[in-house]
Amino acid sequence: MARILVADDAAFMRMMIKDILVKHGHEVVGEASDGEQAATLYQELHPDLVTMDITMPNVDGIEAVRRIRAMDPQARIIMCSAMGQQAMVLDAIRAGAKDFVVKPFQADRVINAVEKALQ
Amino acid sequence: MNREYLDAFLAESTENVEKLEDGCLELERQGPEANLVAELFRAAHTLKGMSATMGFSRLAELTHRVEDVFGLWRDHPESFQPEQVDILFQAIDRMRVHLEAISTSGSEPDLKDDDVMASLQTAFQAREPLHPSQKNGLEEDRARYATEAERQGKVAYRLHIQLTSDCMMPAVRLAMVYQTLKDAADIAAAEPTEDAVWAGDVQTTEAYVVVYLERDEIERIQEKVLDITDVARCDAERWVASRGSASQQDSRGKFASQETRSQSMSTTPAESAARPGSNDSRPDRSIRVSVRRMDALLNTMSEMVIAKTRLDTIAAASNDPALREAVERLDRLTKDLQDEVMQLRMAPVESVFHRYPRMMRDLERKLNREFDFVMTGLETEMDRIVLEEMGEVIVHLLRNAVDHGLEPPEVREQQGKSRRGTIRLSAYASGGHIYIEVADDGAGIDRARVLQSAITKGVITPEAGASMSDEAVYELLFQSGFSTAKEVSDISGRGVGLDAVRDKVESLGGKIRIDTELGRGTTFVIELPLTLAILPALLVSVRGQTFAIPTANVDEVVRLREADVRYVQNESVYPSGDRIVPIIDVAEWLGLGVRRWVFPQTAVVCRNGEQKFVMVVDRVLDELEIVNKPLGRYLEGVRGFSGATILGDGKVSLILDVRSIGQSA
Repeated sequence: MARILVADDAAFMRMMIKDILVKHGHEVVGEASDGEQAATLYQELHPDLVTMDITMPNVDGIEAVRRIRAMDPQARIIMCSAMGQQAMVLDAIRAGAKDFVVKPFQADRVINAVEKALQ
Repeated sequence: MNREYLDAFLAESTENVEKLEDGCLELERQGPEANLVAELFRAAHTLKGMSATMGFSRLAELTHRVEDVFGLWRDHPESFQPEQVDILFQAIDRMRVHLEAISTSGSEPDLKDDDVMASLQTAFQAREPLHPSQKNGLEEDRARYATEAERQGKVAYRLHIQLTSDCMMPAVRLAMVYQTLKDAADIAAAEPTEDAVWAGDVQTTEAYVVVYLERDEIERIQEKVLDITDVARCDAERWVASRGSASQQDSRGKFASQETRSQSMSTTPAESAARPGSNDSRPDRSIRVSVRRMDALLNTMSEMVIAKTRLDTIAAASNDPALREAVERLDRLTKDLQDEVMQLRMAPVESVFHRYPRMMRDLERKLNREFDFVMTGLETEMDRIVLEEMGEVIVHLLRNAVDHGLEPPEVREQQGKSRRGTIRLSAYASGGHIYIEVADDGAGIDRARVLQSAITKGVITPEAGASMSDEAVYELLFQSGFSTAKEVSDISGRGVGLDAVRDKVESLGGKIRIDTELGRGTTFVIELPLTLAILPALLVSVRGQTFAIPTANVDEVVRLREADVRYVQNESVYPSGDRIVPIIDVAEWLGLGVRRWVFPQTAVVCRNGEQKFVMVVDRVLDELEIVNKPLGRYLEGVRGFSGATILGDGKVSLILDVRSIGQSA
């Protein structure tokens, strides 16, 4: 049971992730549609975990990871990546993301990653 | 050479050669998939290491070349060409030759492998020279790392990390692994390198890392690594600076030096066990036992069953309740023990079937056929000895299926069938029997051709042929010296014919029949008893002698009334169900004399396949489990008996062979 912030520019993807998380007993405390909003909401809400899309307008997911980790070095962030974004996922991991899941999402993979990150 | 080492070496090497063979078949199907190639590489590497340790330098050299090939495919999968696998098969065959020679003589055979080496060289020339030394899990610098760690007052471990095969973005996972390792230890070396991983420049799902630890807390580190998503295995091997010789650098497995401590951990045993060729983490551990000892155990068990039966008789005759109770308990325990021992005798058919895919592949090429070979029911267990005896029979039927069953691809196309045929080998258990089926979707058996051939050979007359049922016609195929193949090919003509197949099956107490449909295919169905050693039987008395009839052959026990017996052409018959079956007086048949029947006369309705007859006996004594003992060589030719058993009172009783008695009816 964790408080989670979901960042994705597509409302549909946010809904999908939210469904998965809520179904497994987690609470989605906020939704961000770009990296800038994600960083702002993180500061406001102090969630236990963030799921972060990589490609987003304005500030992308990787930059958002850097900003959030600068505010909170303990921040737990899971990247949501499309196939073929390996280089960017590597950047995100280097920037401090804990794990990644690849779209299309499989519920058990998402939950598995969330639970591992929360340990 | 120490025989114990040699045996261990041979057993393990054979396993690895089998792994190579299975893996190469897999390679042909799915190409150089990373995990598969890694597994093959390891198998070759292990073989090389063991052979070198044992001083078999030629075998070591050969396996070394093969290892290079897998190393090449691992690093450059794009260079893979399916034809190259053929050459690997040649090399694998040569390894077997080496191992067989080593097994017989205990020393390395004087074999020149130049031909195979040359083939390997030619096929992989494009990439020569290979640099496998950079790619064998950092082994070659083992001593250096171990010494360096010691100098720093640390301990060195070589970690072997394996990601799951369906892992997405393996480079990222490996990056996460390296990051985790870095938090807890110094990374002295890594393969692939850290730079390559962070650049996303790797496709492999496997990595080797040498780490130096301040304290020996390798298990904690392994756990952390295993906690990363998609990490399937993380094996650690402690590297200790070797004192004196460097000869142990390449040793692993059973031949690992005592200074090497291996620790294996796996997140998902089921998953890694499910991977072909991986047997590191099977849930059930097993030991090797020689067949001779197994047989000795079984034999003692059989004798014990006899002794127990005798005790049963004594207890039944006495009025001592305590004795009876003790015997009853002993009875149950003996049964349990017997089940266990019988279980030991059982082996999954896979242990024999596993060599067929390779053989079928070779046949496919040699005979220019195209087909898929499908095996099902590999886990089906049956009597080890029956299974081994069946090996050759199945080989023959499979060869037949390829050679005579399946049409050439062009012919199939002309007939509107798919170009590729299917040959299916299946095993399953049903109703106290094991069934093995060899099925093809080929031309089927042509009744007219079989008849024609039989008539030409004078086996039957044209008139008889016209009225024969299909079953009876196919039965002709099993007669000795009968073959419809136009010429004897070097494939099916080798060794035995269908008559030998049937003899073998029947000598094991089994039956074989053919289902076939012209143009649609042929299926050989073999029915075998679950076990040979102990069988339920009916004891009957004939002229004061006791005989056993296997219950499998008994339909029912009847009391013949005078009105039941009819006469057809002076032969007595009995209406059983909707059939009229012949009556045989077993006393007469056995030459124990003729006598009058006393109605109601006791008789046993016997059955063997489709064949059915009534066997007149004096009395039915008992139904019990008997131990089947072979008759021995000088009684082998005697018709009417399939074996002997020792009864509870110590007397010998012959087991009646229902088949041969029925055939005379």
